[in-house]
Amino acid sequence: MSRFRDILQSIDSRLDLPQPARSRIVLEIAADLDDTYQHYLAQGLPAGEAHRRAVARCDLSDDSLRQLVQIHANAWRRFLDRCGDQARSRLERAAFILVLGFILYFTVPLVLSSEFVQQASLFVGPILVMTIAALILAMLKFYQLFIRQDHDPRRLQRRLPVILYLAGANLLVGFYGHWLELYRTARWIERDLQWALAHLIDWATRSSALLIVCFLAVIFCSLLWFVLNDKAARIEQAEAAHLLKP
Amino acid sequence: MSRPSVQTQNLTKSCNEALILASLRAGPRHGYQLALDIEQKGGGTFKFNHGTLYPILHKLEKEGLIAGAWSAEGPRRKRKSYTLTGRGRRYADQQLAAWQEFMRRFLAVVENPKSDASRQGVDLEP
Repeated sequence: MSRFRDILQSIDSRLDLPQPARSRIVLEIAADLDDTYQHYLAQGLPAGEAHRRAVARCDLSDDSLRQLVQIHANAWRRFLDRCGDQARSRLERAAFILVLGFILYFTVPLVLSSEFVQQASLFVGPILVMTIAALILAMLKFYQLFIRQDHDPRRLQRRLPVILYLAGANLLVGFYGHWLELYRTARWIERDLQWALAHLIDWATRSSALLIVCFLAVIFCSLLWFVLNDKAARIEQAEAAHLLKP
Repeated sequence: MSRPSVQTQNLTKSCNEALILASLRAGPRHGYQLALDIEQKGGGTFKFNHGTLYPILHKLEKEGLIAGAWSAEGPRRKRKSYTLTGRGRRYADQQLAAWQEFMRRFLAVVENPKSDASRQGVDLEP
């Protein structure tokens, strides 16, 4: 518990910002409050006076808070924050289960069939490699979280955007492969017009299989990133909440 | 090329921003250190309340002129320090030059109010 719980609580309640921006500001103010307090103590002031002066110096006026809100405001996050913590958590869980259920029920059995893999474009290879890389990175983060019990949000967030970059790269490779396959098919048809329909069907099969794998990989990588990023944000919120605990 | 100028509409805010940027030219600082540094160097002239400090710091960070980094000191103690980015350093240099020019002109007016503005080469544009 922080010795500045009251002022931090007051700032936290007046700061109309979504998480984790609000917690970050509270944590920053808490550190500066403590430093200012230590500074006054080092100057020889009694603890009570040092506390009073630190609070007077670090308290944020409504106008300052409004300016901070204007700087950090983000419409979507504000909407989620206004849902309330419990409702937001339910909303996230429902969205997560819905997406996961959809993937499992409709696509995974299809993708796992040997016929599907044989038919898919060669571009599926790099997509699978990048997805496995994202999975390994996520597994390392889960190991850090649940086995090593390292709950430092900054260490958790380190290299986490790589998972999102891999999702983006998967999307790029998928679309690039799709258009390249179309170009190659068009060239084949140009050379061999009588087999045009067969070439087109072959392209449609390869390319749609590629896009299905691509979208699955993007959803999978994004979900991994979302879960880990949300966990890091919750740890940060818990840190701020610890300072505000009565 | 447009000449860097001081935003005179909100002089206090411009002044505080310039002070923060100047202090960060010396190296990374925490919010508390910035306030103390400016107060000490200014001989107590510039009293820096944190309510003034954070909106400016966060705005500069959002604009990419400074970068904030968290460092952990113990399990429950974390601090955020700010450092100038390359763009921020260039902006700070421009702002310093603008403030020197502003002060030169300001002193020219207050110290010699009877002098002819055109002779001093003062730009009368708003």
